[in-house]
Amino acid sequence: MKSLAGGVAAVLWATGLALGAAVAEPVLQGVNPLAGRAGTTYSVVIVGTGLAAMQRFSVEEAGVRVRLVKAGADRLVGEITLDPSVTPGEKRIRAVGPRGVTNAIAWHVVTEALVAEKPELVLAPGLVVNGSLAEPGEVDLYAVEAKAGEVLTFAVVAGGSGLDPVVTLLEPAADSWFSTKGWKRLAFNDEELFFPGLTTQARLTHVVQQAGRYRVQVSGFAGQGGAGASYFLRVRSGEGERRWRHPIARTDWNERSFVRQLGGDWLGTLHARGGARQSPLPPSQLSGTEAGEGVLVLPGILEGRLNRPAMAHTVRLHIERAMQLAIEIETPEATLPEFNPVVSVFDATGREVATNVHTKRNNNGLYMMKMIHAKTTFAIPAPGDYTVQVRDITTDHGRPEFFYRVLIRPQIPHVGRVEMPEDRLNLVAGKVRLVTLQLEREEDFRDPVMATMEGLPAGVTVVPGAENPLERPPLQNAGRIERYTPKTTQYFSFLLNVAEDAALSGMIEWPRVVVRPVKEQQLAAPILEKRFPMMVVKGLQ
Amino acid sequence: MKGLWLLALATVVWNAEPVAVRLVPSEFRLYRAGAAQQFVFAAEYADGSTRDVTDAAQWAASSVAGTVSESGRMTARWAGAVEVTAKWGRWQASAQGQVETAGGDEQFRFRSAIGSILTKRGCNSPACHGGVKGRGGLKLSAASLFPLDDYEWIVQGGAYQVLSAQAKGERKPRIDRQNPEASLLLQKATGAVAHGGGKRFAVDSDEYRTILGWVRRGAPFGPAEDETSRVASLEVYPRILSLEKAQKHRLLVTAVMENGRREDVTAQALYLSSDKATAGISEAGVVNAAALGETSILVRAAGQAAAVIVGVIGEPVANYPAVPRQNFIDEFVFEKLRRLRMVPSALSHDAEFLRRVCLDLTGTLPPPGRVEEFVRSRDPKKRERVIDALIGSPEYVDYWTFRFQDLFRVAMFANGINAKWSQMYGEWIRESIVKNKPYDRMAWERLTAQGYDGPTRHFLPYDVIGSPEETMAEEVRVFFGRRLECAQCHNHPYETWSQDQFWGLAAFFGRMFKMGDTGNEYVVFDHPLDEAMGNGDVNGKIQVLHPRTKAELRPTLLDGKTVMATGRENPRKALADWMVQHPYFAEATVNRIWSEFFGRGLVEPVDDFRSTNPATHPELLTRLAEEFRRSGHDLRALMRTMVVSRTYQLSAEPSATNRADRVNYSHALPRPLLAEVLLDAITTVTGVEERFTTTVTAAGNVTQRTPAGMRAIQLREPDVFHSRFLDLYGRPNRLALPERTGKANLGQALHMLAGSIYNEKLGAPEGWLQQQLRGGATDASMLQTLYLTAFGRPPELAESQELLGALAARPDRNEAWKDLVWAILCSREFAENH
Repeated sequence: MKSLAGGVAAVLWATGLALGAAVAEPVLQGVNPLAGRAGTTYSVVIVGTGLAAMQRFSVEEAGVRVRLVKAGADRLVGEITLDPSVTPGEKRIRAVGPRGVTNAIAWHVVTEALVAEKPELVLAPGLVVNGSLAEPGEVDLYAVEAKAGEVLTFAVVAGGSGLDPVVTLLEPAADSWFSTKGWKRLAFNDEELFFPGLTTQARLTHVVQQAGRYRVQVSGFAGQGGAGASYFLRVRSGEGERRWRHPIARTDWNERSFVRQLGGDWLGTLHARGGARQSPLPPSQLSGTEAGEGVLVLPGILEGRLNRPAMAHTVRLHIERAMQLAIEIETPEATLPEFNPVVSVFDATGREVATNVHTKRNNNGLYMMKMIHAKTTFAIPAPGDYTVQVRDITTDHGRPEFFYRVLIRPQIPHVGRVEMPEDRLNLVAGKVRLVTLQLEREEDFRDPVMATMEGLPAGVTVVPGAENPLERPPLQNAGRIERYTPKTTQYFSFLLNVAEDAALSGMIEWPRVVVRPVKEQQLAAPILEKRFPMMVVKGLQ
Repeated sequence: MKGLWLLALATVVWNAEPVAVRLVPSEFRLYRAGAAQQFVFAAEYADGSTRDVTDAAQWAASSVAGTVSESGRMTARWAGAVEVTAKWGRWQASAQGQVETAGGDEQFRFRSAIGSILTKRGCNSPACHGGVKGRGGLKLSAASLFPLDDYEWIVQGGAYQVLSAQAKGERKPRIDRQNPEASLLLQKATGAVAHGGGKRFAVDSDEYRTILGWVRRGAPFGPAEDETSRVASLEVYPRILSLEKAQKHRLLVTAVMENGRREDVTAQALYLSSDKATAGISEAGVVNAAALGETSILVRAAGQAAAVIVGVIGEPVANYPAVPRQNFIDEFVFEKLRRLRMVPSALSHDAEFLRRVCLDLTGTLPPPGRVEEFVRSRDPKKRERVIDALIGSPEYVDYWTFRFQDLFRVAMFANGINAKWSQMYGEWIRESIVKNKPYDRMAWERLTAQGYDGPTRHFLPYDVIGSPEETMAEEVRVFFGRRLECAQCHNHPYETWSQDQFWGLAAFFGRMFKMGDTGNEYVVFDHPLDEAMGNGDVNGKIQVLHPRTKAELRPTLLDGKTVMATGRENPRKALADWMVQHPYFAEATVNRIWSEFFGRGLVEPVDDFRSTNPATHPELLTRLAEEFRRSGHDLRALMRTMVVSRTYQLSAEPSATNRADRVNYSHALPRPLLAEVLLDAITTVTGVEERFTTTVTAAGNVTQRTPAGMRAIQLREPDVFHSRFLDLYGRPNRLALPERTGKANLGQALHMLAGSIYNEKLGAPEGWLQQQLRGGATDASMLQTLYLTAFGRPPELAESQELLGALAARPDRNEAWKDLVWAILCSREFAENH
C-alpha cells in the first residue's frame, strides 16, 4: 500500500504525462470479406496496426468460431466458421496477443446467398455481394436485370471507419449522341440523409421504369478507398421495412435524445435512477390541436402530428404553485433535421417562460446562436395559467410524420448519463493506468453515487484518483445554458495499479464497472453494469 | 450653326431618297405657359438608317396655343389644342398636342427648378457632389434623385456622413436669404470664391438668375414630391443610333412621372459620351459622329439615367445581301447589322458548327466518327437534329450542372465547410437540370429554402448564415443581373438604387438563422417575429437596422412595397414571388445564357445591368425574355432558340465589313475553352484520363481519388478536388461569384512547356498516341484521327502534306509525334471554341 501511495503521488505530479502516454496497442481497421453466411466456413483478412504476433481471435457470439491462420504487422488471416444456427446481423470481433486485446470491429452474418465481387457479376434480389475498394478512387460495377415496375433496393454496408459508401444505379445511355457504350446515372444515394448521428451507409430504392439490364456502381465518397475499405451489397425486391432516420445510439442512456421513448414507465425509470424504489403514477395524456383545447395536468404527455407547414399546437397548462419543471420531447417518427420541434411555454401575458431553444452568443461578433434540445428544465415562478405551444422551427415544413410527444413534469432528481469511454483496457505490468468515468447529475440530484470496479485480474488494484481538471473559457454569453445541459458533470477517476510481477494475461479478462446511487444511506439498484475486456501485458515499445 | 447642319446633311442626303419620315413625339401635352416640347424630325431610309432633319425642316404651329422655333422646339402660350407640322422637301409630318394650363403658373418645385440646374451643370454628378461622400462637405444626390435631401444640405448646411444621419460639424447654410447674391451656392458656381469644380455658370446666365430668384423668394422647397412630380423613368429617343462620320442627330429626352405624365427634359439633361473620339455630344443633346466605332451616350436628368448606343458606320454596302433568317434572333441581329452597314459572315461550315455546338451545349468534343457522319449527311435538318440530340443528353446534364454549380457557388467552404453539404446542394442543381426544372422554380426554391434541403446549404458560407446584405446582393446579382452592393453604404452613385432600397431588400433575409451549434447540424429557418425563442436570455432582437439612420427596416421590394409577412411566415417567399415575375429576372437569365453561346452578353458584364450599361440589342433582349417567360422559363427551349439561329451558326471567319466587330454578332467570336472543358478535351485527345485527388497526407499518400472516368466538368467542389492545371486556367474557387476571364497568363505558358498535363500524357503507354505507334498505324491515318478529335475537322490537304513531310523528316517517330500532338494541344484552334 505504501508503494502504491507513492506511485499515485508520482502519477499526480506528472499530471497525466505517464497516464496519457500513448501505448502502441493493436488496432483492427477492416474485415474482408465483411459478411459471412450462416452454415459456412470461409477465410477472412483483417487489417490494422500492431498486429504482429497476435495469437487468436475473440468473438462473443454463440455458433461462431474464428481461427487465426496467419499474423502479420498490418493484417491477420483467419478462418471463420458459422454454425447454421447463428443469428444474422452485426457481430464484433477482437484479436488477442501479447500486446493485448484489440478494439472490437464489426462484421456481419447474412442468410442470403453470398458471392464475392467479380467483373460483370449479375445481381439479383436476395443476393449479397462481398466487395472492397482496395484503392482510392476504385469503383465496383455490377449488372442487374430488372423488370418494368420492379422495385429494387440496394443497400451497401461498409466496414471499418475509412469508407463512406455510395451506390449509384446506371442505365444505358441510349440517348447519348457521343457514345454507344455509355451509361448514365439513373439514381444515386450516398446516404439517405447526412446528419450527425445518422448512418452513412448507402441505401437506394428505385422503381424501374423500363425492363432491361442496369448497372450498379459502388464507390466511396469523394474517392475513398484503401486497405480495410470492405463492404457488402445487399439486393432486395421492394422497399424493405419502413425505417425512420434515427441517430445511432452511442451510449446506453440517451436522456437528451429526441428518439428516446417517453412512453411506458419512463417516469419510473427516472425515479429509479434517483434511487427511488417505487414507481410513480403514469402521466396524463392529451392530444395537441391547433384550437388549443384541453388542459394538461402534470405530469402529462401532450402528443400530436404537425401535418402541414406552419402548424402549431397549443394547450393550456394550469400551475397551482411555483415549481421546478422539466420538458422532455420525443420525435418517434421523423426527427432532426427533418422535424425540428420547438416547444415554448408562455404566461398569461404571452411572455415566453421557457423554450427548448437554447440561445447563446458566440465569441465571434456576438451573434446569436440557437439550438433545440430534447430536454429543458426551468422554474415556474408563480401559479397561474400558462400556454404550451409545439411547432416546427421552420414555417415551410410539416407532414404527418412530424409526430411529437412532449412530457411536462415536475423535476425528478436522478443520475443521468454515465459513460466509460474505453472500449478495452490493456494494462502494462508495473504501470498505473487512469480510467475516468463521466457521470451527469440531472435535475438537482444531490445524493452520493458509488462506482466500483470488480473482477480485476490478479495483481491489479484500483484506488480513487484525481486528474487535472479541464479548464475551458466560458462563452461570453452562454444564455441559460443550465436549462439545456446537465446541471453537474462529475468524473470518477480510477487508478489501476498493475504490480511489476502481475501475471501477464493469456486471455481476455472481463471485469466490470458498477454504478449505484445511494439513497437514504442505502445502495439503490445499479444504473450501470458494464463488462469490458482487459489484459495485463508486458511493457510496449 | 444651322448652316453647318445643312452642310452636314447635304453630305449624307446626297443621293438617297428617304422612304418615310417620323416626327417624334407624335402626340404631346404641356401643362403650363412657358413649358416646352422639343421635336425630332427624322428621315428614314431603305437601308434602315435614319437622318435627323430637324434643323432643316420648316416648322409651324396650328394655333396660338404655342409657338415653334426653327429648331423644332415648341413653347406653350395659351390653353388649347395645337398641331405642330414639320416640312422637309416633299415630306411632311404632324404632331397633335394640347396645352392644358396655359396662362397659369405651375407651382415651384425645387427638383425641377433647382435640381435640374445642378444636374445640367454636373454639380450632382458622381464625380462631384453626387459622389458617395459628396465633395467639399456638400453632398447632393445623383441627378437630384432625392431633392429633399439636397434641399436640406443646401438650405441648412452641414457635412454629410456616410454611416450616420447626423450632419458633421456646424451647419452653415449654403444660401443667404438676407443677402442672396452672397449665397455660397452662387459664389462657388460662378467662381467668385475658390471652387474645386471650377466655374459652372456665369453671373448673367439663366441658371444664376433662377437660383438667385429662388433665394430671394425665401428659398422654398415647394410642394412635397408626389406622383405628378416624381420621375418613374427616363426615355430617350432614339435608343440606338447609327450615324455616318460627321453626321449629327438630336436626342429627345422625356421624363415619365409616376402618374404617367410625360415631360420633355431634353434641355435640362446632362449628356456624357463614353468615347468622345467616336461620338461627341453637345450640351443641347446633339450627337456628333466622329470616327468609326460604337459607343454609348449617358443621359442624366430628373434623378434618372439612361443610355443611347451610337454606332458610327462606314460606307454604304453595295448590293447588301439578303441574309436568310432562322428565327427572331436573326431578325434583330441582322437588322442592326444592316443599319450598321456590316454584312454577317457566311454560315459556318458543318464541322465548324458541330464542334462549336458540342462544346457549347455539352462541354465535349464531337467524336471523330460523328464528325465524319455529320459532314457527309445531306439531311437539310441535320443541324437541328444534332441540337436536339445534344440537349438533354448525359453530357448536357453534366455540363449544365457544372455551369450552374459555378453560378450558384457549389464549394465546400461556400456551403457550410462540409463536403457532404456541397454534395447535397450540387445534387439539387443536378436534379433540376436532369428534370429541366423551370428556372423560375429553381430560383424560387433557392431563394426561399428552409430546413435542411440542398439549396439551404448555400446560405451557409464559411459555416455561418451570411449577412442579410451580402446574401441579398448575391441573389440580386444572380437572378436580376444587377449589382446593388454600392447602395449598401450609400445611395448608388450611378444608378437610382438608394440605400433605403438596398436595406429594404436585405431585410427579407434579416430573420434567417441556423439551428445548431456543433458545425454539422445546421437547419435553416426564419426566426418568427412574435416569439422570443430564448432571445431574452441574451438580450437579443430580431431586426435589421438601417446603417445610417439606425431605423428598423421592414422587408421592402425595390418598387417600395413593404411586405408585411407575419411573424410565422417565410418572408423570402414574397420576395421570390416578386423576383421571378419581375422583368429583370427573365432579362438577366436570357442574357446570362446568351453569353454562354455568344461569348458576351447582350449586356456585358452579364451581371451588371444598369441604365448606363445598355444592351447592344435591347429589343432582342426584351423578346428573348418574353419568349423565355412564355415557355415557362424553360432553359432547354431557350438554349435551342439560341443555337438554331443563324446568328449562332455564323462562321468565325470575318468579312471585310465586320472584321472590327466584337459586339454585334456579325461573326462568331473565338472563346477560350473553360479550364475544365479544356482539360477534358486534352484527356479526350490523349486518351489518358486525369485522376483528381482530394486528401493528400503528409507522407504523400493519396487516400482519396476521383473514380476512373470522372471528367473535370463533373468535379463538384474546387476546394475539394485539387488541380494545378484547373487553377492555372481560371477555375474559380467559388468563394465569391465566379468570374472567369479566360485571359492567358505566364503560368499557363510554363505549364504548356513543362506541365504534366501537356507533356506526361503524350508518353503514357495507355494513351492514344503510344497505342497507335505501337500498333503500327500510319502517319496519315493518325493525323486524320488527331485532327478530327482535336479540331473536329479533317486536315486540309496543305496541312497534311506539310505535317506528314515534317514527321517523315524526323529520325525519332515517337518524339516527332509527341511534338506534333503537343503543338496541336497548345494551338488556339484547339484551346478555343470558334
